[in-house]
Amino acid sequence: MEATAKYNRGNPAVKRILQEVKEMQSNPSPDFMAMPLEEDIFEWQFAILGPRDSEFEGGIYHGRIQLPSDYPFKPPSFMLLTPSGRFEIQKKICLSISNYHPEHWQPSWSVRTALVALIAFMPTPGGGALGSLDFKKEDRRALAIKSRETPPKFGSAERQKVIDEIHEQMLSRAPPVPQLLTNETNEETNQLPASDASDEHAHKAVGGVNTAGSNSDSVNNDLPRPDSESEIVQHIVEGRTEGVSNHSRANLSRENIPRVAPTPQNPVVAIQKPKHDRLLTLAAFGLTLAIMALVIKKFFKINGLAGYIEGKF
Amino acid sequence: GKLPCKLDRSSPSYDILFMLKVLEGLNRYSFHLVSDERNRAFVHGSITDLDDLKVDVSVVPQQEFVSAKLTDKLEQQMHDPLVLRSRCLPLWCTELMSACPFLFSFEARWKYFQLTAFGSLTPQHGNMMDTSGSGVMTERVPSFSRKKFKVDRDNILVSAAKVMQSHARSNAMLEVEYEEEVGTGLGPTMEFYTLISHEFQKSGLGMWRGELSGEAGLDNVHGGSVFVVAPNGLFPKPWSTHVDCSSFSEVNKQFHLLGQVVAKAVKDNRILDIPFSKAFYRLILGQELNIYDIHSFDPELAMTLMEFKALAARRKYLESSSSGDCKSTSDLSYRGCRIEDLAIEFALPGYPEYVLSLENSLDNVSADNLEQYVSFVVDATIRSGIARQLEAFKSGFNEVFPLSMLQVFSEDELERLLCGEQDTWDFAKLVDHIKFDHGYTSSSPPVINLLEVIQEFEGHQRRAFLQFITGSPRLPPGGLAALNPKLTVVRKHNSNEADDDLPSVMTCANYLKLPPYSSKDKMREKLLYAITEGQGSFHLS
Repeated sequence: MEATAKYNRGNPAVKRILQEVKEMQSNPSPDFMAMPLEEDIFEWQFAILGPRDSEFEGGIYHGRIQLPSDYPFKPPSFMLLTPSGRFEIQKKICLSISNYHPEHWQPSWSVRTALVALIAFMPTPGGGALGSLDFKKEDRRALAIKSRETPPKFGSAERQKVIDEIHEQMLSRAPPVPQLLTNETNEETNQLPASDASDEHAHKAVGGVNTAGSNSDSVNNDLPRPDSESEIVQHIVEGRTEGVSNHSRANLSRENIPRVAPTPQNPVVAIQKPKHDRLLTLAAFGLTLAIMALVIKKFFKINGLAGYIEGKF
Repeated sequence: GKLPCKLDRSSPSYDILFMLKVLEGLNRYSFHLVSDERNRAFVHGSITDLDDLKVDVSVVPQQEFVSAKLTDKLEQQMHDPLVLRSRCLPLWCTELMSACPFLFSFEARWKYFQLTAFGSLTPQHGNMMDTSGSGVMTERVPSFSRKKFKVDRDNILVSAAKVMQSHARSNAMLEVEYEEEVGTGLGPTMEFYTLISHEFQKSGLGMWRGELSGEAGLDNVHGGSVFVVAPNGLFPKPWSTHVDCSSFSEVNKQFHLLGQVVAKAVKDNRILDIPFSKAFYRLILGQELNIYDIHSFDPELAMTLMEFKALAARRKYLESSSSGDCKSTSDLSYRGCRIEDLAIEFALPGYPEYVLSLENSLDNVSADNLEQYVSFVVDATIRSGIARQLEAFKSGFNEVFPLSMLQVFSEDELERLLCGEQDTWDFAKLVDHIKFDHGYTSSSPPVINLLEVIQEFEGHQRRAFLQFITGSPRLPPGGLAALNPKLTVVRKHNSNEADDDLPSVMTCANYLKLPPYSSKDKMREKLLYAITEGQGSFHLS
């Protein structure tokens, strides 16, 4: 904490960032770790664990976060440094929480919520988004194993020192990469519930990112066999429990977030109706305006123009 | 209110004009009105989700308000020789134009502006005049004197300041040539306005708001942009009135020079390549801004401020009603967080040097001071933080001609005047608006290759092509058809192999000399080389 005194307190964003640093240190998460550089509080180094029950499980993925000068009014940018097969390295990635979409960002989000969302996004398809990749599962698993061996090399000596420190601590927490005990068919079947659970996790963590919601729907639609239903239900329950467990470690400000979780469907339903009403209202407003303008214009042409011009002449 | 003119209020026309003005105002400010209505709904509890504060309105096109008959009548008046000589229009023209300019077409208002501001219709706008009238007008147009200045290409702002210091009040048209270059005339002058437009956008000048990166980051040294990044258009950066330093004095000088350059460009009908925001155009036109105008240049900040404003107003509403304290506290949460937990300092976001408030400078934003915070940020962003810069701009502008003359235009039209417009280049249109001569016709194979190549150009290549030919990367209002002289393509004769030649231009005449290349690919290669490497100097060819 001695380093805290060095930061330039002139920038209004510093106070907010310092609060996040403090909160991150007092409530560490087993799934990720993040800390700012000593010389620049606007640049953070982070590492996330690959999500459980996915081809990324056991992997340790490093990255860099750049916070803008007007944070938290604007979103940060994210760059992955460890190859994962899901995100390109040393290239800013495009997510609804990153600076590619500032219109989706909310000041109530934070570095913590962003990292939770990033973990949840890993098993989702890249879909050609900027900075996204779609490697095969076997390749991703190989990269996950490789990611533990050595941290990535990036930037100045101080950055490397922070990266190495984070890697060391993550190694001590992370479980080993699970061995492949099942055959291909079972493995493929097993992926669907994991993906669904992850989407659920993302939905709760970020307060309803549309991407996660739509992915969840598409996964459900693809289910071919009723026999898997009970298995999926179990995973959904497991996901919720996990989510609640994670959030219980957050401070008071985060306790409000789980409230959204019990009713994930309601927000979607509620959103549809007001939007429809607003569109109708706007359409009526526009039409009324146009009709009145045209009627007045015609009336003006017939009567007012002649009278006015004649008077002046 | 009432119409700002001397029209007799008992006349039946008055009520109709007043109604039209109200309708036009409603249409123009529909975003503001709907946003405010949505805000009130949230305050009274009709809306409980902050996401519903977002507004997306569609406006009736400006052309719907135009009266064709009035426009024709005004055009007749402006063509009257007596009016032109005496510069005295009938009262109904001036009164209607000041009260309800939207009744006239943009072209008619442009002519009116030229007549009232400069005393005559300049020959450069011959394309906008009626065909029947152009013959009469040509013989009556007075000849403008020209003043030539030599400028240093590598120090364009200093050269421009000297030019404007001695030239701003002059009626002569500005012509520019560059030191150590022999080219002169229209092309170098057009490029002068382009170069200075780019120079004004450098972030080192401290003039504009832009996307901000972290402090002292590695990015700033390596990948940092020299120019301001403002995807929604340029808007002045806030400077505090509490701080008087030499750097702000420099900023003010630049805004003064910008005012002079903008006014000169409008007067001489030159194209600037500088993307002002809609809000800045409104300031130029003398209109007041409010919190909803922030949306046009910083939509993220505007959205958050509007949400904060709605929360603060709702809190006040709940306190004034009979609700209990518990309900009040629970209702005032921002997306699941208390305001205090956002850890927002009572300071202008992104601009640490700006002193927002002396009393609250060390406080955090909380439910108690949220309303005050929003009010201070809005004031710093669109009023007191930029008031002096705007004043400098206006004083510079007024040295050339009165800024109030521009108020017959809307902000979109003003943008068209200053920066031209983007044209769609389809084949038939290109053939219609380009002249082919000296060995080429519209069906010559090299001509067809050329038209296809420039159609396939990307945006920046098209801009480079236009700058190569005319000196400016943008087309004047009216697009390709308004280019004067007309874009001309002629065959370039040479004793050597045609494929080894490069195209060349006479920018004064928008004249492209094109060798007859053997293939389309060869033409593209040589043309791209010429328009990218052939910039940066004017010499005789």
